[in-house]
Amino acid sequence: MPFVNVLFLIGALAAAIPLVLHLVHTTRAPQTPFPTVRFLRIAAEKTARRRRVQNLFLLVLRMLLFALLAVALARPFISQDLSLLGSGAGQAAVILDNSMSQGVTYGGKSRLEHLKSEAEALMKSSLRPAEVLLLVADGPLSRGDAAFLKDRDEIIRRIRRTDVGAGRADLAALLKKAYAALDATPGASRRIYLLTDRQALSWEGVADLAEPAAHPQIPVCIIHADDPGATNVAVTDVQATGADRVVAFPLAVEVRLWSSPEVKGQRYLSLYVDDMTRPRERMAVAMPVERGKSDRVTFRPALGTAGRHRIRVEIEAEDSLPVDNARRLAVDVAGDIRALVVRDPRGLTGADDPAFYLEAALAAPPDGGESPWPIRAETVGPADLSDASLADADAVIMADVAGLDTDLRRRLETFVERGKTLIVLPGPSTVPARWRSVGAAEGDGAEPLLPAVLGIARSESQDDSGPAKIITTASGSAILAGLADLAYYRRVVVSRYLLLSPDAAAAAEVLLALDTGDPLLVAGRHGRGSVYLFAVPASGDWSNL
Amino acid sequence: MPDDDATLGEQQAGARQRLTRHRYLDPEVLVRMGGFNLLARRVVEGFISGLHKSPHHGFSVEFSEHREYTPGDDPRYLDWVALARSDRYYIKQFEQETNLRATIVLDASGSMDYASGGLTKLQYASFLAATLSYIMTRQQDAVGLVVFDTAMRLNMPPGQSAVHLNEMCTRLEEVRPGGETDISSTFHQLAESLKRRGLVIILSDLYDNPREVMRAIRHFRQKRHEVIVFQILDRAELQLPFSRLVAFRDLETDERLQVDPRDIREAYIAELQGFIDAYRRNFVENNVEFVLTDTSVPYELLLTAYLARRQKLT
Repeated sequence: MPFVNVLFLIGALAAAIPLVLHLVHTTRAPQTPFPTVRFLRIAAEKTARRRRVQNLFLLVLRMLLFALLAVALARPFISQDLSLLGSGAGQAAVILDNSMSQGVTYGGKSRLEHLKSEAEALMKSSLRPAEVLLLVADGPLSRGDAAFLKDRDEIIRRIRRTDVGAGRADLAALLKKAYAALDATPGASRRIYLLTDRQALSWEGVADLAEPAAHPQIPVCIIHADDPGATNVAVTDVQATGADRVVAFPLAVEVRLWSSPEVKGQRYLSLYVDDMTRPRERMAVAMPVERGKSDRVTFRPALGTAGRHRIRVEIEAEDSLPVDNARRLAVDVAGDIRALVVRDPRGLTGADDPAFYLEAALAAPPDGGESPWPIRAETVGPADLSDASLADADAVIMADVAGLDTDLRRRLETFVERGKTLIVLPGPSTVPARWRSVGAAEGDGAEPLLPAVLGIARSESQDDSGPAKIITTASGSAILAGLADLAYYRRVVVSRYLLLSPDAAAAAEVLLALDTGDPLLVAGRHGRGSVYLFAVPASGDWSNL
Repeated sequence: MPDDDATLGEQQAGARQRLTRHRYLDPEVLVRMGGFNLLARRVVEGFISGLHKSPHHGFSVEFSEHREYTPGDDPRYLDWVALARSDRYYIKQFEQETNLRATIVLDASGSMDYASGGLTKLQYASFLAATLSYIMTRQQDAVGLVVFDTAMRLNMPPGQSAVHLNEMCTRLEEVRPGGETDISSTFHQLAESLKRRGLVIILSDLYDNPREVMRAIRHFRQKRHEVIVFQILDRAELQLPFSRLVAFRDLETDERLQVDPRDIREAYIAELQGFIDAYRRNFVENNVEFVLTDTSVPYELLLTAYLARRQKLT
């Protein structure tokens, strides 16, 4: 690398001057008698460390300044690429963090606007690199293969077009990309400019990068938004949880919140359903939100009509990042549930009819209620389960059906696979062997329909153990969460039940169990639908369930 | 024995005349000091005579010297033999007639040989010693002199005559600064040797282990001596006015230390002030009177102010 002005290079030798002066300065102190050096020594020791660092720093700084001045005046140039002469040098990757946090405003502008101004100033300054690889965290410019650009105006246009994105920045990935691109360039002067805020989430993984240590010749210059720090309140998630979304059935809208520790007082959280101008419900939330304690709020709106409903949850807060104050979702609510209760046509009536109690439970309550009853139940025999009837049904409830033949099994499998629900309550007429043949036992390799294998009946009289009681085992289940009072079910006693062996292949889950250790209710998946298998019938013979 | 060829008065007058030729007794200063007395604050042993009141009655039979009769003196102590001989009235003074016995303790260690301009600390202390001695002698109190560095180098027991004062001043002029300092051993030795309680006046820079120094001073206090400490420093010690790198040489240990005073001035002053303040607190706790001075203050002004303040309090 030749120097155009060798004379000035001599100036680099001047870098040695401060060192010489320092040494000279050190050795020619006049001697002076003094009453005692004790306090001088103590004071010197106390200040020695600080002074050593400062002196050394000053010495190095002076030498560095001399050297830089000399080199700058000597004006080195690279002969291979004359386009770099006089217009800045080398290649640079400019990483522009446009994650959501860059939407925080201060000084009348967003963080991103401030950073874009810095990036633009860099492009217009004498320090601008000759070639720039512009990388952004989110948005159109983040997609596709980025390439080095030489056109300064185009670079500036792209910077100006960058908007605040919707997600977080993955600075580690962007830096890896930058290092990889610069590695492939032949330039002697390469660097990375990283324009970002100090959002911790964006910096995850950066400390583990190996590239910085492996590329000491590629410095990273970090330009961060110098804002005083933002206070923020955010709705971080909204989900509709709970039972199937059916008219008049409870719908839980669970909201997750976050706030900066500096936010105090209370804020109102509003739920909008369909009408986005007037909140359906408002709830006061104390600030700051405590993670794991007060960061979850649940609304339970009553949706009176079937169809798609728009829901918006918004926290009323004037903060520096309003974009994260609201979340939206859409919920499809069914108008009614068509249930087919299936029982063998044995001519039984009244309480002897295995469908008797089920029909009563599925019928509209005598007091009516505010909303129309969503369940329409019809009792049929197994032969009535045609494809046409199953196509209109949402759920099939088998009440003490002796067994399934092949055709019925196939129709039910298809029914459940489409996302429907099958509930099986065995009874005195159930033949476990005729149910055991459902699925894989026939050797056809099909997925078993039932989540458990039906076994023999067990009663209290067999071992004098007394009636069994319910112990809930899956209290965290979304299904059981819909029950009004789970403790009520602990008063149920069971005198007789079928032994169920949960099938691991069906991903079975025991929702209710007896204190004998045997399952009472087992749930499983089949295709997109669910199957629930009880160990008792819906009658008073075996239990008071 | 008085010279037979000169009267007692002439002898005394001659001694007083010689006083004015001493280096550390400035006649003009002495004149200006004429109105001041150094009074003991606490009851001392001795007779009611002159300025101090004594709890005791009676007198020692050991004759000390004569002084001219002044109206008001007790005629019981007229020396009739001297009257017959000289036809002048003289009062006998006995060894223990004086009410105050003071001992001036002068630090002559190497650190006292420092001067940033003008007087060294030792010279300054010598002026103080001589002037105080003159004042006490004039008020008919006895004063002694102890000079020390690592040990006691001179121990003149208290006396109150002009001859004694002459001798003291002569010895002061002969004092040369010595080596290192060992204040505490000298003080302990002196405390044991002083048989009667009195006044101990310490002139020193106190550059020794403060704990040991205070232990020794408490020895004086335990013996019921009244103690006054003059800590004498130089202004350069107090302010460290040096503006370039200096290689300091310790006057006592010869230790060399090269520092830039500009860098350490603040820390140095804090250290020294802490040292002084510790002494001050300890002196207050032990009922020791403490006066800090530096040699840039004319010793006459120091004494004037000090004695005036002390007279108001006693």
